[in-house]
Amino acid sequence: MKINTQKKAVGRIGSKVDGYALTWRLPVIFWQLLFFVGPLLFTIAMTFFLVKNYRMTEAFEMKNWVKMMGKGYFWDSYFLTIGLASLATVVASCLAFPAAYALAFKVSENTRRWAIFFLIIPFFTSYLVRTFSWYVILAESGVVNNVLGWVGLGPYTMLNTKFGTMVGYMTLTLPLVIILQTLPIANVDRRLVEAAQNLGANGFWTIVKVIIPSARVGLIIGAVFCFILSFGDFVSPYYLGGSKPPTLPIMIIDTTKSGQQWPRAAVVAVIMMVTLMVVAFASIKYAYRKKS
Amino acid sequence: MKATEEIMGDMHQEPQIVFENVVKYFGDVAAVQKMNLSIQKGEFIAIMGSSGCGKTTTLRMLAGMETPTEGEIRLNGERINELKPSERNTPMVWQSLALFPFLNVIENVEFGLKMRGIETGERRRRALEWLSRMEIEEFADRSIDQLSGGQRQRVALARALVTEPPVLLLDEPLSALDANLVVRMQGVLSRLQKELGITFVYVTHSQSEAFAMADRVVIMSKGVIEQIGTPQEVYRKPASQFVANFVGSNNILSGSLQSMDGSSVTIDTEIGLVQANLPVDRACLQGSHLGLVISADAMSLSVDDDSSNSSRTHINQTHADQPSDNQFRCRLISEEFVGAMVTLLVETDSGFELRIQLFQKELDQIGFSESASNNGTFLWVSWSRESVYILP
Repeated sequence: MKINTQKKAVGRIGSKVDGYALTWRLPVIFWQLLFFVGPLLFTIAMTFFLVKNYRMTEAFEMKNWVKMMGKGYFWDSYFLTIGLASLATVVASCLAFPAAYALAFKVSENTRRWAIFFLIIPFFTSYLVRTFSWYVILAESGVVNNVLGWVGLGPYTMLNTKFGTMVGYMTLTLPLVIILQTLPIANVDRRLVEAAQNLGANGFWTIVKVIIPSARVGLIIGAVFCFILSFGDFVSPYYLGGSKPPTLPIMIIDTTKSGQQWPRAAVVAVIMMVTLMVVAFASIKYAYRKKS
Repeated sequence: MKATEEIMGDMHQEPQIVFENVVKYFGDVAAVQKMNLSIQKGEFIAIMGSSGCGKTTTLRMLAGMETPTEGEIRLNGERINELKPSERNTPMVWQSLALFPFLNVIENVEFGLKMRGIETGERRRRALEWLSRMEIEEFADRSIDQLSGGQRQRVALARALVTEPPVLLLDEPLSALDANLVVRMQGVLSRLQKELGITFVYVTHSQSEAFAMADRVVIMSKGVIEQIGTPQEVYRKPASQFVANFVGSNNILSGSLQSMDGSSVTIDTEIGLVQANLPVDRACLQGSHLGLVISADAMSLSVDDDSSNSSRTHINQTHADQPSDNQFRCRLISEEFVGAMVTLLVETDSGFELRIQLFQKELDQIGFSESASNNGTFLWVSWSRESVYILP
């Protein structure tokens, strides 16, 4: 018996790979390789392919990269997409904060649970359906313009504008950002809040000096999610923003449709991916930065 | 108008802090009941009690974190019930310290000044001044998690005192420190309070902390003040059985008055007849019920040396040659050594437990620790009639 356990222990230390743990990790590793790393590598490879007679052929040429990055309209679109996604991030974070603060600090725990449940409900329905419902609301003869008409305002053009795009982005991201903000704000140490008030901080300064710094990581993660979702969203800029000028996701669609230019679309996709990774890593790094 | 009020206040010599019939309910639960308490400027006052007695609620009402349900709290003669926490200058040193982890040491200390709109240069100067006063100026740019417990304590003190408040509130600030550091910080706090001459209101459950530092002690139980007095008063003359019990190292007996000869009385208690002196202002009838307190350090001890039948060896030198008024045979149950002091738990023949506190030195004198420390050993416990305190 004693010898047996000893042997086992030696075996464990001897072999570097723990078979038991590996068995449980294997599905995840397999999944990631198959559905993330694989397609990613293929997309990168595809950027070097060529299209001849509407048919994609394997090659290793820089042509697609040179062509796409040399085009002014690509960069216009790139900065437009970054600008819109950044604006959406700022707007969503600002709109979400008062709601999240109220849910975290001003209501009972029960109310908070219900509110979060109701914030999840929008995800039950298709985002596309929710986007189309904005048509009815935002159209020239829609609900908003009708109401404004009664007080002698409008009609305003809201569809096919950047405002429309923004409304769509909010539809996509706002519930999630509120949820992502509520949890860290609710976890802010109440003793720190009391300490700040005790030292003379009023409501405003308590939020600025204690609640936001305390919840910083969560707030940044909420913002990052908003940026990622908006940056890659095709539906809002296409249906509510009118697709002109196009954002990068629209450009990908356009590129594939016109002349089967999958390799060039792949260039756009890879550039988007790199951009998102840089933004995400920089944000997380900033969120967790050490104060000396 | 205000000026005249202030002058009036001065004329009446109103204490700095006054609780007048203060009641605080949380739902149906009364946390504080009809509290009346006056605290003079420059006093070091300790509020003591077990958890849930209302001591922390009292402190939080003073800081504005809780609003009294009834009654009035006045600071320098002005009603402060409705003032927000941020509108008072009653900084607190918290049990958790509540230092801001996202700010470094000096930024923590500057916080209160910043909230009062004091400009950067002045702010930094005053914060540094306090850091050097607390002997932690070298850590000014450190983050909080790089500090030891004692250093954090000092940061918390500096942060609270930098705004030069008229009163400092302390909510069990030393409870997280180890025993050595507690004694050191007690010294720091006492000295600081004397130097600054401001009022310290100190909430604690630790008798040693309260007795070591406070000018006056407030003992609370179930939201009611049981006694207010100097540590000596509370220790020697507890106002109630609760206080006698709470202050610890006391033996509490109860019984009926059996006979009376002038001021000297005999009381029939759980352990038998006890001789005591009745306070001069106290009138009692035969048979009336009395509570007795005999503090553990007022008792003396002798070894029951039946076998050799030699005379008993008294430990307590001062009482050695005078006959004891009260003497009981007891059986040793347990002993506990804390440094130089030894606490013995003994049982009388009637099965009542008594607590005796002696110096190790005194015990050594009769060779107690060698020969008689077996549990179950019989001992003689005695005390003078003067050391029996009769509860009011």
